[in-house]
Amino acid sequence: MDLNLVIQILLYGVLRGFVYSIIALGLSLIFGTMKIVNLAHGTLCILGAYFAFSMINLGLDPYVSMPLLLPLFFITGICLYLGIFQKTRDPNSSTVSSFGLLMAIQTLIQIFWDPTPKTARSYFSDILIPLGAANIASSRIVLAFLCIFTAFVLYFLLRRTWIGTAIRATSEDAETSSLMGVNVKWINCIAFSLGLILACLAGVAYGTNYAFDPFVGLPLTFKGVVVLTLAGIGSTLGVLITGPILGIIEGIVGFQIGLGWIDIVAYLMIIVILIVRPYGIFGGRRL
Amino acid sequence: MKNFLSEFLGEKIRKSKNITFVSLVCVLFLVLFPIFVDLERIYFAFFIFFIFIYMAISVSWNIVSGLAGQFSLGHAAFFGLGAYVAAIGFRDGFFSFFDLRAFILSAVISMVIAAGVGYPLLARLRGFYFTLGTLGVSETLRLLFINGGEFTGGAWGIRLRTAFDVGFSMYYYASFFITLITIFLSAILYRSKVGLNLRALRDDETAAESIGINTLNYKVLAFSISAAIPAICGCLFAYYLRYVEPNIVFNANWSLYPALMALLGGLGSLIGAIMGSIIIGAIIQLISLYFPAFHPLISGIMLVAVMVLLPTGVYEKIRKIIRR
Repeated sequence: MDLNLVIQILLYGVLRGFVYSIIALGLSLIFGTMKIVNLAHGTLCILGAYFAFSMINLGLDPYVSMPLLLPLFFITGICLYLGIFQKTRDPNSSTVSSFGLLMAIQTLIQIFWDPTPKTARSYFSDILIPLGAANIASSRIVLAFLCIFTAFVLYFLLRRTWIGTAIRATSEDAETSSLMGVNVKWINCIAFSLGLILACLAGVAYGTNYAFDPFVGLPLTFKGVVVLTLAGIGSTLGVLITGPILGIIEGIVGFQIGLGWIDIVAYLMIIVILIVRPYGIFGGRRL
Repeated sequence: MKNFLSEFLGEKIRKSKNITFVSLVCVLFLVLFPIFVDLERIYFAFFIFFIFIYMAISVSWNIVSGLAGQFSLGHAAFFGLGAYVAAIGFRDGFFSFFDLRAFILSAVISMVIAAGVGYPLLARLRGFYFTLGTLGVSETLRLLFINGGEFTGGAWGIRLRTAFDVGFSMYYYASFFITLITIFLSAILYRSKVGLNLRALRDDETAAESIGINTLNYKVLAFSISAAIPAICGCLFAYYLRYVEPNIVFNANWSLYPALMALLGGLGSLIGAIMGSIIIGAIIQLISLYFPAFHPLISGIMLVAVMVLLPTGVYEKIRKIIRR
């Protein structure tokens, strides 16, 4: 194979993989703290992308409207947690109820927008940067930096601030931490909403670079779970490596076998990883 | 006979004569009513046909998820397999239209695949990891059939071209028969030693293992028994629709709705699954008749509402009200 081609596949895979990293971070925050399986996570990402798409009509670039969407998703997160997930806390019932949520959001998107594939083109999407053998749209570079920056901010938040300490304590042992004076209910609520903020970030980053429709939500969730399981839960910076790994594998499969087979990779990987190595590469806790 | 039936139908209600009477009247009504009305002309017949299919899948889903406690969201995989067995068999000339052998073959194939998939999944995965795994299996199969090329007809699917028409009453009685058999078999299973062992491993796997139950074998057995029924229903559905397409027959709805029905009725109870499938089936039909665009939206909201408001199910609720 041509060397230039290899470099292109690797580069595109890595850049695409960073989106999966951010989705995995959101999932790990929600699952790690509360044992809630949020199957609707990917669909919520896509909802964010659709909001950004509509903001373009108001003359706002997706990257400009993203800070405006974050508070909206924070509030949505609080409502969803208090309304639904507080009462369905164990993995089984949250799987079912979040699947219902997924269906509802998917249909809402189809009603308010239409189910044809869309892209929320940003100002950066049209500026090409020659990077070695490949021409890369600068919006993908922005995406990569945004994702790495977010992961480090989250790492700092979880390790160095009192709220992060409280979140980590709750995820270790909710009962003991409530005895130590942590308001477990609000910490859970905040962790869930932070997860949704990450979903919004990932959604806008995805939407500016790739085509999306209401149905890519579930595959995105699965890719997030794959990346999270590979890294091992609780390993915040590990996902920055495993995300691009998945992206590269998808790129190779898409190039060698066919684009229709890309989504199978994630579904097969999750089955294989869960069976073979449920602790992830970087140790950490079992997902 | 009477005592037998009443023991049969209720996992928990043992000696209620009312239940026997009501169920006998229902069965008689459902057998006889096609004689008095023209099935081809009324929508109600289609309505019941649909509810029968969902009821059979829901009752069989309840075996693996309610009785054995292994939540599966992958029953769409077996439904789709059954439909494709019928379609490919008919296209390549192995079976005639509405062939009994196709029903049997689809059940066997999906039981074998369920056992093959179930062994690694059930041996390693507990709780929701198993749920994720089954969802992964069903989505993988959907994508495999979309990318299957000539053999599966790709994303276009397969059309069953035939001038042969069996009439709607045939579909009606077939679905009725399948449902009745399913309910009967699962009632036997609930009362048998296998059912007892499954319940034991659901409640405490370690304890069940320590008294000598091979939990893995029993779980795989439950999974493959419960995979056979959706395949037979899928076969019937393919003959009814005469068109098989991956996004229709592998649609997540086919695993979601039966789960929703059993959950609404009450997880792990046979009557609960029957009641739930009647309630939800009716709601689905009415919604898709009057507000087709909102159909998945409302069922999604319903799923969330059931999980939040009625975690133990309608059947338990009614029993509590009657007891009071």
